[in-house]
Amino acid sequence: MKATLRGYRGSSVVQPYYDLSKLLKKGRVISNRSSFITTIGPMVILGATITTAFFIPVFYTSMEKTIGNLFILMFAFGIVKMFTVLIGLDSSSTFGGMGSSRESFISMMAEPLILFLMIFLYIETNDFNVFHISFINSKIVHYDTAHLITMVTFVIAILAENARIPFDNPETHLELTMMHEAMILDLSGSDLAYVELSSYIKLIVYLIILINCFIPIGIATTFTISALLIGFISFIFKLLFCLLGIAIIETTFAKSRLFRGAELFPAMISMGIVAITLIYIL
Amino acid sequence: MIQALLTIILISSIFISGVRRIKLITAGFIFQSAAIGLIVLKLGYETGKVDYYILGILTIVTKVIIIPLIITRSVKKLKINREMELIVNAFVSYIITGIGIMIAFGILNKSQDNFLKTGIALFIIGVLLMVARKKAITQMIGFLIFENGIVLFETSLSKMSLVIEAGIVFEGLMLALIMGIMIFHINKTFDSINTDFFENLKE
Repeated sequence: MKATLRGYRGSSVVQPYYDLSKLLKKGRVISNRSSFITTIGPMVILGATITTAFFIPVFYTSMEKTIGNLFILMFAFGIVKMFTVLIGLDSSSTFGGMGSSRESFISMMAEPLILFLMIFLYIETNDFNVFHISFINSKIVHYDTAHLITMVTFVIAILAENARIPFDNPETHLELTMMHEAMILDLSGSDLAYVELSSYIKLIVYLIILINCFIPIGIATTFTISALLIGFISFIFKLLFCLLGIAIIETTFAKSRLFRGAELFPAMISMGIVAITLIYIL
Repeated sequence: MIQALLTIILISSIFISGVRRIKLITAGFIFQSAAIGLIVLKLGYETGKVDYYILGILTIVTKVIIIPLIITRSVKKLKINREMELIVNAFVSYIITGIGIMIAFGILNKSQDNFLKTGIALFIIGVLLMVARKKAITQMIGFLIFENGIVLFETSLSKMSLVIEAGIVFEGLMLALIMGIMIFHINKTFDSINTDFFENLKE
């Protein structure tokens, strides 16, 4: 999570934490037009994202019975998204409604994509549990074509779900371009800190799912010191690699127009179809 | 290794089928041809035949270096860089591409040869690009992708002689050259390279 903001190239790595602690010290200011949703919304969002963090393997996995169902993860993220949209609508400002409609447009397109990816993982491993999936996939030595295609698809799905650059710019506050920021524009103080923190956690959870479901080389499968150490080190390297990739994408691409960005989704769905065909036939 | 190259081929062909800007289409075409050239070289390394080496080097030289140069030069001369109106819009053409690849792999699921299936998938995508676009330059790229499919298809057969393989590659190069000149003349005559205006020739 520390290096999420590598794209800045300049500000300190712990700068987001300074911002968060500064925001946490402030009180809450709530618009008098807004209802109870704005009051409880940020806590619900933070709670749901922290819950998802407990459902995923980080550098140790096993075949034991654990909670880690993919559907629970996706629906927890659904809760996050729904409350963000509701907060945007609730603040009864123009930008909030606009951001909400855009966000629901994007997520409407991204939802079938995530389902396709889940179907692919199920066909590949016969399991919905993230722990089991990463355990089974860590045994693979040569990845086949379908696996790689799905990996690329999932990377772009991560960019879409976390409002990253080809779809939305997370830093801007220009009224025409913001999507995620537009919804939380009315929040301040500790509420804003909760929402920001939950968006960082969300990005990192998605990246860990990517790492552990698709490239789980070196993950610890036995509970010994050396295996855990190897798992930890390889995990850190893979995470830094992924974040570097995201930073490169963010600095080289420009944000595309809303409908032009939405044209990527049929491409993703088509890639999902191809991947499922390949895994089903081969 | 070969799996990763096949992945590059499939993903680039899916992106080519819906993207509007000619620069991006050319970049996708370069990636695809480089992957095909590397596959052929890898096959040559595994089997030790000289044919594969020659074919791979020819593919890389013509399709990664010469043909993109011709395309970018003609694009610069014509001052067009994107195709605004498509006959089949991007949403539908992505989905058609996916279904096309699915059919290609589904029909041939008895055979164990991945190159054969990917080659036939590339045939479908090339034909789609030729049919669904209006500008002559993208139709040319469609034909070149079709021709990439032929190269991949005939590496799986491995019974054709070197003369025919080299003939296929040079045919693509000649086509690109001729089309580069032709497109320039079409542009001069009709003030546009939109193929719809060819109907004016009726009289």
